Amino acid sequence: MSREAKDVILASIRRGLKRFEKGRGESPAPPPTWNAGSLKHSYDEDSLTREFVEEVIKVKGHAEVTDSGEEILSFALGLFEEYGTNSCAMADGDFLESLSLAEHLESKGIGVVRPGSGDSVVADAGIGITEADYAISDSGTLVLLTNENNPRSFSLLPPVHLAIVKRSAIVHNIYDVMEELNSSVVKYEHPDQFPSCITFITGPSRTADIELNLTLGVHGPKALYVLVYGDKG
Amino acid sequence: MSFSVMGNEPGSKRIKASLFVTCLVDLFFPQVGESVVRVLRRLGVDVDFPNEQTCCGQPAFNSGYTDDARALAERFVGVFSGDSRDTYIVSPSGSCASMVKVFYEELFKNDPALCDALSKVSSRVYEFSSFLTDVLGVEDVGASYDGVVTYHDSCHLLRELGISEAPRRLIKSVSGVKFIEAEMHDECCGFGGTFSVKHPEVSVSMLDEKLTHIGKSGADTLVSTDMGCLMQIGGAVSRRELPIRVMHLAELLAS
Amino acid sequence: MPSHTFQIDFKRSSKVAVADKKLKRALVSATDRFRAQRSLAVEGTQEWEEIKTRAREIKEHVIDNLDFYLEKLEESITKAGGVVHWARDGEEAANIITAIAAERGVKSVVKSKSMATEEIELNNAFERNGIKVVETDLGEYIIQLAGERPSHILAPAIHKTRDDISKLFSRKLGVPYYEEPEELTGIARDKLREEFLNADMGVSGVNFAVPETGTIVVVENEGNACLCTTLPRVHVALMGMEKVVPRFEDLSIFLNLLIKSATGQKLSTYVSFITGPKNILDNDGPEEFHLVILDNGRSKILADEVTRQSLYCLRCGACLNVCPVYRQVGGHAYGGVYSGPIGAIIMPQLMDLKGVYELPYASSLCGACKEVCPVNIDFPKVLLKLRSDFVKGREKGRRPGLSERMAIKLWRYAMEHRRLYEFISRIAYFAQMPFVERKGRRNGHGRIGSLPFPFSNWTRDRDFPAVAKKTFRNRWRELENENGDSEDKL
Repeated sequence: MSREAKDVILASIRRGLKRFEKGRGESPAPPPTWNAGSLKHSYDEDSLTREFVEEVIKVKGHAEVTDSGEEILSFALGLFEEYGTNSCAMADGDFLESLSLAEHLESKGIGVVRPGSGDSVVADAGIGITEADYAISDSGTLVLLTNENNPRSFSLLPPVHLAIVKRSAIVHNIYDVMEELNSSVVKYEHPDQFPSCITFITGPSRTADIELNLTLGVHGPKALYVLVYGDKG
Repeated sequence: MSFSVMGNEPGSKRIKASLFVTCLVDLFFPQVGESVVRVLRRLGVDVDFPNEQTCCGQPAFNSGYTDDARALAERFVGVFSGDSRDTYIVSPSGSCASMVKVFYEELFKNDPALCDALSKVSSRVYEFSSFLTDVLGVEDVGASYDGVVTYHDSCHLLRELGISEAPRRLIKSVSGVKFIEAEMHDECCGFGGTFSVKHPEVSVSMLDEKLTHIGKSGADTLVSTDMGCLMQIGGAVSRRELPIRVMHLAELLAS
Repeated sequence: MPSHTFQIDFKRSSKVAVADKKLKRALVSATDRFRAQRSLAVEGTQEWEEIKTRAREIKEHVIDNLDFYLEKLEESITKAGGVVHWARDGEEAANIITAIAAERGVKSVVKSKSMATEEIELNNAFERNGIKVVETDLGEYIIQLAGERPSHILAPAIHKTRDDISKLFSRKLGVPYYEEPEELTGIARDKLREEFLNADMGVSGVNFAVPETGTIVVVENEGNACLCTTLPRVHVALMGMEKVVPRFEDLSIFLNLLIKSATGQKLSTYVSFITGPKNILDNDGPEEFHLVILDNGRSKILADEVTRQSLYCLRCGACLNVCPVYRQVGGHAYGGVYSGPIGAIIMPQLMDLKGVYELPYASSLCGACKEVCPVNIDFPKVLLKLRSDFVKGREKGRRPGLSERMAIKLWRYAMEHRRLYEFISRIAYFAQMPFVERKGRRNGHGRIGSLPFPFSNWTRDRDFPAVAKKTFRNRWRELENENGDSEDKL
């Protein structure tokens, strides 16, 4: 049934295009990809960081720059207090690992859900903590690549999302990030190396479906906190 | 002061223009055609009126009657092919001008001979306001009018021919005119040819909004460049006895 | 399977809509907001025109080689561990999707917003098969509870006030009457969170599909599409077959164009690039990924060189927001799937229904849609082509009524014969006498306040100008002789 449908559809496309002769499978040359060269400037990390923080705030997120692991820990502890929760779901990023954030939080009596837990366990966590692979300064966007250490649901199910971004991971615009992704993930040969999901997150979950009133947290997190970490300059 | 700025220096040829007056102006608004003639003559243009012209075929074309529109389009090209090659064709309607300049091509696309004849005619076609500013290079035609004027962009002039500045510059140069923009001045008035009678309720609802914006602007005079729009807006102004004068740009410039 | 349950009667439903003041207020505030946000975003994007042009070229290229790209897409998705299905029409697509569900014992399905699933009436198909289906986009959820159809591509429930929604929620969900949007949203969140965690299958639409990598892209703000494509063990995506962009890198300009045109955001809150099911080591994500490629009339659209460009549409909704007709009548008047200018051009090409061929007439041809379209679709040109096809009776013999056709023939005959035209104008001048009022008119121009049908469609709300006593061509005979005197008149 399906095979037949495919053949019928492809045949009617070819008929519509008046290409009776051409066989399938030949590779047409597409127009060149758009070259963002005209928009490229050399941005230093400071100005990218500044713009990124401003843009996150514009889309109703919270963003701060930190330069020590202790600051991140105390910021996180402040969030647990603010939201009256003592559980979180934390991804296994290299950087989070290097801060031993999970151990520090657990020592303060906070339950840390790790990758591999069931969805309903993650949904019950008060805060989701992730490490962004890239960030876009121009739109205040986090880019997260799914893998065994970074489940999709950690940035999605808990009502609060705390993301850590390294200064060096910030690029200027969507063209830059797509270029980065294009030269890294797309080149992978093995299908399992290609992330099953790449999520771009710009601010907390929002809707305006009721009389155009902006309401946060309709499905995803109600609040988004971003900490930019890294040595200055 | 003489406003006959163009082509009247000794030895130079006078500019010639054939009037493509449009059927609406011919039948319902002859004073608009007269105003066009007066303004052009004042600027030193030799005006002619090819008497065989009727309608450009737009109503049929817009309703989907392509074959009927094509017959009238052919006729139009024939009527205006009689002019000498240096004669401009001037129309007081952006819509009718765009019919010839933009849409005829679609009708003739399978007939190279007609396309050829068309290109000789359509390149000479100018909408009235752009003829004044772009060909004659005039903004101040020496008119005077005492009033607060706002301008309604007719859709085809704005979006098919890309003309929005010419009429505004001409209006602003009229002595005594205070020009103000109304909100949503480039929103359709709801005429749309047969649309206005096929979907009268929607058409009038669009018109209501247009009138609200004109009313709010504080203007006492509404100027536009297309008799379709002006018939629509004017029809409601008259019915509701609103304190707004509705006039074609040519009428303003002839005053 | 029953055919479409859509009813398209623009004439009747637009009349009803125009009379609805509450609807008008909602439409004006929504479209004003969307227009302003879009303009601001476009003004802030210096490369806008450049990327528009490039996007158009890419879309033209893709559609011109669609057979190649669809096969390539299937190949890449298969390589990524997904399964591709092909559906010739809506019925076949619905059957494929419900069969996937039935074979896996799916009892409950969560859906994110997708116009293609509306097009094939997928919810009805699930329900007929005894499978529970829940819309999870807040607007769609409201619409589903109300048993209605979306009225806008982006904001399906803009026609509903908070009071309507409060009443609906307390009636359908048994909750107290809350009026604040935050409270109502909170109720929906709780209800839907349960549905997400219990669903066996998630259904999404597709904004873009990339043959190069086998990636599909889903754009949204609420996070419900992320949840639909993450939590249930099966993810099925339904895609109109035109949604292809060739290369991964092309997504940058297409996302930019789509999102800014739609809501004016720089990026929407969530954009997901989904490539196959979860990888072996992933700790979450669906075990199965299915893509259903839907033709449903699209290959017919593609076969016409003028209307082919309808397939370049990104479904941004910008044309709805600037359309003065949509602004008066809202989405329901178009029959409830695709509305506004894009609806007026694709509905008659996708669906063979009574009344659908009249939709191209639901436009004043003002061209505002063409002006904002991020892929430069020439809407007036397509509308005119569809009108012409309708008049020629190409649409299964459906065509305008005999009286209209006769009237056009007579009109044409008169316009082809100048003397006859002049003669008729004289007859009209005298025939109109009983209708003409001269009172209070400048320049003695007459006005006509009332005419018989069909002209009454005009005169009900507008005066009609009287035919001039002396037409322009008659005046010209005098004007001609004034030639040369013009200098003196100054």
